[in-house]
Amino acid sequence: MFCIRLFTVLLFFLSSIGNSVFSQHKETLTERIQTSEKSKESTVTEFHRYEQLKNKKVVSLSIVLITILFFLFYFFYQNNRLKQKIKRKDIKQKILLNVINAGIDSQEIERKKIASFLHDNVNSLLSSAGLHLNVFTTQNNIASEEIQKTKAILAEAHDLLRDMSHDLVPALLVRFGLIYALEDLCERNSNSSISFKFSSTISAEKRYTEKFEMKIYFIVCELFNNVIKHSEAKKTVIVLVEKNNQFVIVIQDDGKGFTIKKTKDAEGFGLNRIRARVKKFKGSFDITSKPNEGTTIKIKIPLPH
Amino acid sequence: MITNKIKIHLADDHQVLIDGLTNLLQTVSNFEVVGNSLDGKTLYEDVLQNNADILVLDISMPQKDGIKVLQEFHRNNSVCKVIILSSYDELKIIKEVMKLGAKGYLTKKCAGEHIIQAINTVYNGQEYFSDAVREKIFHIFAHNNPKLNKNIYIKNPILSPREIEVITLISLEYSGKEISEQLFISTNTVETHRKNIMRKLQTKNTIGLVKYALKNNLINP
Repeated sequence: MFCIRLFTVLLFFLSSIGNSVFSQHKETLTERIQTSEKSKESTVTEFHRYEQLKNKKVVSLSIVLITILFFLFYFFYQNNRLKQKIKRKDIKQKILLNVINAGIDSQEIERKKIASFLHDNVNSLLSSAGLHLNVFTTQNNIASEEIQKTKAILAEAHDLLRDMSHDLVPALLVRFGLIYALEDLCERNSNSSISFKFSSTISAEKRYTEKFEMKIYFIVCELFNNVIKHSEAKKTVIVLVEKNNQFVIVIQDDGKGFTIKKTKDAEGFGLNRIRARVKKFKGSFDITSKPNEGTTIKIKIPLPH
Repeated sequence: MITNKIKIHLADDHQVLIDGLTNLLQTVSNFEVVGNSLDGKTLYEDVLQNNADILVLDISMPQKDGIKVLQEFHRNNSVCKVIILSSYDELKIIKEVMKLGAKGYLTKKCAGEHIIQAINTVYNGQEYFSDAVREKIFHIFAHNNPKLNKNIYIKNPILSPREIEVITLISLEYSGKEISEQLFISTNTVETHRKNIMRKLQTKNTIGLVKYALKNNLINP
């Protein structure tokens, strides 16, 4: 757009110069006609010369005009092409984002399905098997080693099942909501080498939509995992705030941090997945980190209605 | 004889578990399973009708889940005592249902070993938790106390694990009310435990309890 405007201004300038040249010539011409009526012959030749000059000017001016027009069209064409290229790139990125998000969405649905299946159905079956076994032992009064072993195996299966369904979708999240589940997540991840401190100004009873709670929970889970795996931090703080109709999460650790140059490597830590999720909710995702000064991650997501 | 039987109603959305429970409870002579439900919809009315003393209730059920059912019983001041039998073992959930008036909490993992004892205990007016749940409750409450000795659960010939927890907390200067709140049991139950401990240890007052706790390394001086 700027180019086009520049050229119109240039064009206007050129034409005004041309006009003034012509009008000057006209004036001198009439003067000459008036003053030297006697020398008609010389006037005729001069008139011819003037005609020639005029033709030359017209030709050169049109050449200039054509070149300008050529450039104008060239730039216009280039501009359009660039715009299209950017548009294509945008669409590509959007598709990629959608693909990532669709993957995560279906993963979450599957997670929930499997978790509730394990938690409810398989658990009850195991429990029932244990009950029948107990009936058998009390009725027959047998203290067999095999039965003790079977009972131990049942108990172990129960534990494995519980851990697994908990990893898939924690029962607390479904039943008591995001704030409780995140507090529980902090408690469960804290140990002698790293502590997760939980701080929230939001009431623990507050519930959001199920989709929102699941998404936020798994984002925080993934960020915690990054902290545990890569940061070598001793202390991590998570702060939850609701501000200006936004859900704000700040996660700050005192680990080794990284230079922003290396964020490309950091994208490998699943950050692009988190970014895609935050972007889908029209939120913002910021990382600030310096070597040996820890990492701070700030996520803002508009509250669901 | 018939009037002395403990009437039990079972509620779980899995028929196979109800069958297992019924089968097991039938082996006890003074238990009688008077009914069962696969969902929570008409559970309150059903129990009202068959006059059950004990309701064994699952939390995750279709239509009306265990927590809603429990609220209904609580609201109506039902005399039926509720024992939760659930696959959940999160402390938060246990806390919530105890607040809503449940008298016992069992995980499905150890239903076979504990259900009979649980029904008897709750029927006699005390709270009941399965061992894993009870230990978890105590651990969360006391694990930050530096005075607490970590391995208090070494087999004690005289006291039960629950009594060890109570005597430990008494020695750490917790009041009866604090203990009842933190262990999700009634003050009456705490008092019963205290009396039982004193009787078992043959002491006349609390100082005797503290002396015993120190001598047996339950708490650090």
